[in-house]
Amino acid sequence: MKRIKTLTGIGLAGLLALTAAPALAAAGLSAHEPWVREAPPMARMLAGYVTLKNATGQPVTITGAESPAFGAVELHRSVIKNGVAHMIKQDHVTVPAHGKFSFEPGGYHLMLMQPKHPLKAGDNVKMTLRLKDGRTLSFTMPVRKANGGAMHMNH
Amino acid sequence: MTDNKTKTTKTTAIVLLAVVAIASLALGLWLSQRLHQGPGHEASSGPALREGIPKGLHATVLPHGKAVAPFKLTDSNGKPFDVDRLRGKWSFIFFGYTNCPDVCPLTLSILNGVYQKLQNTPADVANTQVVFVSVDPRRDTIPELKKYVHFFNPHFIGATGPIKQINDITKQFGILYSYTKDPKSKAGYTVNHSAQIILVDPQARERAIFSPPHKIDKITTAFRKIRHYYEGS
Repeated sequence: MKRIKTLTGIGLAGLLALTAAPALAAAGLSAHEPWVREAPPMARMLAGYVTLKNATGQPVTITGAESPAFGAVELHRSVIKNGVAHMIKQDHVTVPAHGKFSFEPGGYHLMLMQPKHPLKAGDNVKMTLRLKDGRTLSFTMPVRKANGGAMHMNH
Repeated sequence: MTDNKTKTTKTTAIVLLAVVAIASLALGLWLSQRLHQGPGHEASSGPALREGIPKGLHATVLPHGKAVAPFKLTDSNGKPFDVDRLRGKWSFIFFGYTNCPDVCPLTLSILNGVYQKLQNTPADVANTQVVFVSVDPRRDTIPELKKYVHFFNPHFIGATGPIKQINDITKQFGILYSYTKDPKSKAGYTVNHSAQIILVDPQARERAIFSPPHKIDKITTAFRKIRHYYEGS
């Protein structure tokens, strides 16, 4: 059940409205198994996860993200230092050449803030990642109930 | 010459320190040996739990337990939550905050997984409670805390209180927390917090510590072994 979306570029991003952007296919970066953790109805902060694969010979740097379902989206990382959990905003993350990068529970995550509507398992959320070179990668993230992160945390 | 003297003093100090360190180590080893040596005398009243520690666990077990000192919080139903609420039950206690999108939901869903597994053997889930203590009372009101914990499991209990009262419980468990604000983030402040899960026994004694990364199977197995060992079942 892998969702593979191709990288679409919006070369002149600054000049074009997002909806009007031509889908310039820029092969190489793909999103796999995206999902949003279903959260309590009052939650103001949610987390989204996805694995990015880079088929090209060049590293790809992600500098931000946005979604119509949230007021703001940021790249964050949970780190446990001496038993203490910290959450640290990341200015960017890099998918290595011919490699992958995972946003996963307990590590890097897309921090989804100010949900516009409460989300339930079964809902879908549109997500767009911004790349350093101005291109974007858009994909759909289903909202899922996580039971102990069983699907991702175990081997 | 003064230099030499200083050197000698320093060397003496180092040697002394080493002697003290070795002596403490020896004492520690001797003590832990003693603690591991089977049943001793149970001083406290009430149904006695067995002594010693079960082997091969993914948890740090305190051989004699450590009595929980008084504290006073409010639970997610607005009722007092104090040390008496820990008596007669095995309690898993986790500390966090509801604006925590990753580590807290992950841990609470793991604890829900543990709880569901324990439900397969009614004797193991009987008198077992899961408590989520919010260390962010400024944002986490009691009604919100209730909605939050009940989302993970309607049996779970939320608890919080004024900072000073939160500290009465966090300090004795060695739980640390602090607030940080990244001016570049729209997240407001975030809370750094210890990610351990504390297990308190039915005599209100801290009995074990589970350290991250948490796994449903490891916690469930360790809890069953600990409970069976101390209850002699």
